[in-house]
Amino acid sequence: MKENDFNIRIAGEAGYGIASAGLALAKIALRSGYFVFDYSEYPSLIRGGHNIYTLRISGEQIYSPSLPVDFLIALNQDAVDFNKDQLSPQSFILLNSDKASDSGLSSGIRALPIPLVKIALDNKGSEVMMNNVALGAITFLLKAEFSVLESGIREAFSWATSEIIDLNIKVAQKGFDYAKDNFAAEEIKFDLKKIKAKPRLLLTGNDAFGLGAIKAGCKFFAAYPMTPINSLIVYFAAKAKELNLVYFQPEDEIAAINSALGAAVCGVRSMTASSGGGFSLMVEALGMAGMTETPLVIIEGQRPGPSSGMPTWTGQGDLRFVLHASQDDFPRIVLAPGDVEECFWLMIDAFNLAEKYQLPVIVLTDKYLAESRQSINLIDDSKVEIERGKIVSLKDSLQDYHRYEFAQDGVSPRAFIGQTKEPFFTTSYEHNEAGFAAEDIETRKAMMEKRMKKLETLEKEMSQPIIYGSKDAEFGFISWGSNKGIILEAQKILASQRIKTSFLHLNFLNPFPAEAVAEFCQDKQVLLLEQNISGQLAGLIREKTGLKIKDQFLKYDGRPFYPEEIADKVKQIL
Amino acid sequence: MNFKTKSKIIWCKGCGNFGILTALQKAFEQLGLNSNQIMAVYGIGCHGHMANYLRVYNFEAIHGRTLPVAIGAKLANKELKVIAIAGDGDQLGEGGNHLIHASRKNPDITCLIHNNQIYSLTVGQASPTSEKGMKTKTTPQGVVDPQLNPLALGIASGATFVARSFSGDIPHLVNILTQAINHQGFSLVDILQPCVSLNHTNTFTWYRERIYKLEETGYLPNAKNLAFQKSQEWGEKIPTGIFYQEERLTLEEQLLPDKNEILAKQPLETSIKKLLSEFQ
Ligand SMILES: Cc1ncc(C[n+]2csc(CCOP(=O)(O)OP(=O)(O)O)c2C)c(N)n1
Ligand code: SF4
Repeated sequence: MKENDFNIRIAGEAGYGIASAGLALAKIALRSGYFVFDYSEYPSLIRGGHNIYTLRISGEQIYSPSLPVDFLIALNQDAVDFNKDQLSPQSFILLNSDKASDSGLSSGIRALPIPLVKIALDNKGSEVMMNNVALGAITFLLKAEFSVLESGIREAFSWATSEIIDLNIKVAQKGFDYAKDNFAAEEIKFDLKKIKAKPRLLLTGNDAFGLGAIKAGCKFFAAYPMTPINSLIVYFAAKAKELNLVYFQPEDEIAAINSALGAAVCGVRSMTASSGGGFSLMVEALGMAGMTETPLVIIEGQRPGPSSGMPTWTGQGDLRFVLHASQDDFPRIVLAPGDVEECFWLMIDAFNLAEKYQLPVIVLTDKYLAESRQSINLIDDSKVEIERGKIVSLKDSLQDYHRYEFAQDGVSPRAFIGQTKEPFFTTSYEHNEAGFAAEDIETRKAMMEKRMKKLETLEKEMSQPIIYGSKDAEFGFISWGSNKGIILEAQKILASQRIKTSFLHLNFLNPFPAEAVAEFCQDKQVLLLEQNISGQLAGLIREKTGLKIKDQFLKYDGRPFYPEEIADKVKQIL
Repeated sequence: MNFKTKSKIIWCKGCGNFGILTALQKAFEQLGLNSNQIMAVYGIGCHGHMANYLRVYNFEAIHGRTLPVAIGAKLANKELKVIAIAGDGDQLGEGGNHLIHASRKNPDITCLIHNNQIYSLTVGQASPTSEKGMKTKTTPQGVVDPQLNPLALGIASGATFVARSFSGDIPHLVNILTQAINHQGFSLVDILQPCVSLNHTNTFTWYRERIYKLEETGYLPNAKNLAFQKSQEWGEKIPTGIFYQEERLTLEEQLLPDKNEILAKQPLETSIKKLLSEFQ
């Protein structure tokens, strides 16, 4: 057990409020001044399957989950059996003695038995309240203040009647008392005593997308429910009335993207979101956004495929798909934020770039980033700038307005349907400057070149990838998207063992920063990491730079990387 | 107001689409609309070529997807008159699901189905409205499926204005179109549109021999069951006119957060201080 860094896991059957107990615990830690990072695993079932929630708490900034689990709250026997391999000999288990026993645990592990169900029932609660009994106990064991838990429960149950809230607080108090009478809190070296800290935010990637989109001025969001973007939909829908936004629930993903496009051509910043399956249905309209030069933000939340795949697990298997989806060539931007903070800021970029270059911007995330919570420093939203690019309005003379006028940089001035003196013409067919269908050789070539020119223009002002770690390291990581935090943690482990590393993180995948990647690879041994079986980024690097990266760590089991396994891998290679 | 463009019209001589174009231009004139108050969203098919001939805000979308684009636009700018211009293959085949849901959601949009009972742009394959037994390029032994009935589908799905007209009777079509555009809610107009090149069964003469006008029979379009029954009539006699009309709150009235504001004209700058504080 690291003094300052502690992993708690709650495990049990789906339907027992594990996620809400986890959130309450995360908030206790956050408000006591600690950094937190959480991660949930659950099968694609509402009830009955095995759910786990893991919360990492630290006095220092942390970027990912880590292993081993220091403290397991086991609500049933599966919780013990399925998770014992991730415990260390110094770990503790708060064991629900009504449903599980400690037989078969390796030596050293300390079991703290507590009858969670009995305590709930004895106090007029129901079996599902055992999670709150457990929260009471852990609050005592980690030396946190009960009042923090109490306010956490009040918040989590804000939808409920005051009787239900009181009852939940009462059983939590009983859990606290039981632990106080039966266990010695000093044995656990970690504590959650309040420490002085600046206030922080606790956000999932989806929360940050929602906040970023709203801040960017997105007013229309059409999306058909699909894991892992559901919590983004729920957030946007909940805020729509208050903030003058529209969440539109369409009949399918085809309607989702087409309606977002319809709103966009009228001048509304709009967005759609789905996972790979839903994105598959959007592909034809993605091309229409390219052809009609309509700004559109599309969030693609990856999960393991193909097809229905593993709906509630994580992966990075859709990079190639989003880079090439739809017929023929047209410019598109592909972004892949690395963490919660980047989810916010890249969402701002996504909307600005979509309008400045009049094209679709695809933002790749995955289940791990979308649903894991991370504590971050407060966001200074006064730094956000909205850039809409070239726009003509009613004020300008529009007698001869041509929607697709040729321009040096490829970007024709844009007008909004419904906001000009004269109507103008937009079509998914190849067209001339005026927006009428055209198939002659000259027009076709010129229009294709005009559209593709936009990417060249963009490349000139594109920000370069960030390199983390030691500049003079002889060993480097390359990766993209949500692996960022995990690799930063692996770098910390390696640094503590005097292994210097550097890390080039890609969050801009199209246009591709080929020069920066080539330069990074020049003078060091490189390990590439990504979560797909074919090395999709490796292939892209080969295509764009000619370089073949030999050492690859590819994971495709639906679970994120762990920093510990990455550090081990590096030591094998070196 | 001039609703014509300078583009050369490439429809076949005598095509039923001409009548629809003319009728739409007249209807807009009669309604006193300006061309910058109207957005037309087109599907892909011969009907869609109208995007080059009708002078309003034109958005020529992809095959079957007129309605979701139209709904997005209507929510973005509720002051626009939004017309979806679709084909029978386009709206009833490729885009069938959207028709069901647009009918149900009731956006204030007018959907025209240029129903020529054949896929014309792709040169003569069977469409969902081709008659059973009709020989087409994809049905050399004759169509095996029963005809899909757009009116019955619209009524059953909750469309609040359901009508049929004929591109060979421009005054009737203008009248139906003005009422459809004026109707507050989703209006579906099935327009019998002869394809003179590829459908040699359902010709102008064929329709003229069968068509009669509901309004001349004392029919009142206010009862759903009766409307549904009427919609089943096809063959010897083909009814035209308004089959069904009701008033119901529109999608925009219910979904737009602020009834007085146009979404597309809202400032983009917004403070998220309060939202951020909820995550502390
Ligand atoms: C996704 C897709 N599938 C197929 C086509 C080919 N296609 C173009 S128009 C059309 C059918 C046209 O029939 P209809 O909608 O009745 O229109 P019409 O030409 O008769 O006006 C088809 C199948 C296409 N453009 N897009
Ligand atoms: S093929 Fe038929 S629908 Fe198309 S233009 Fe000719 S007549 Fe009209």
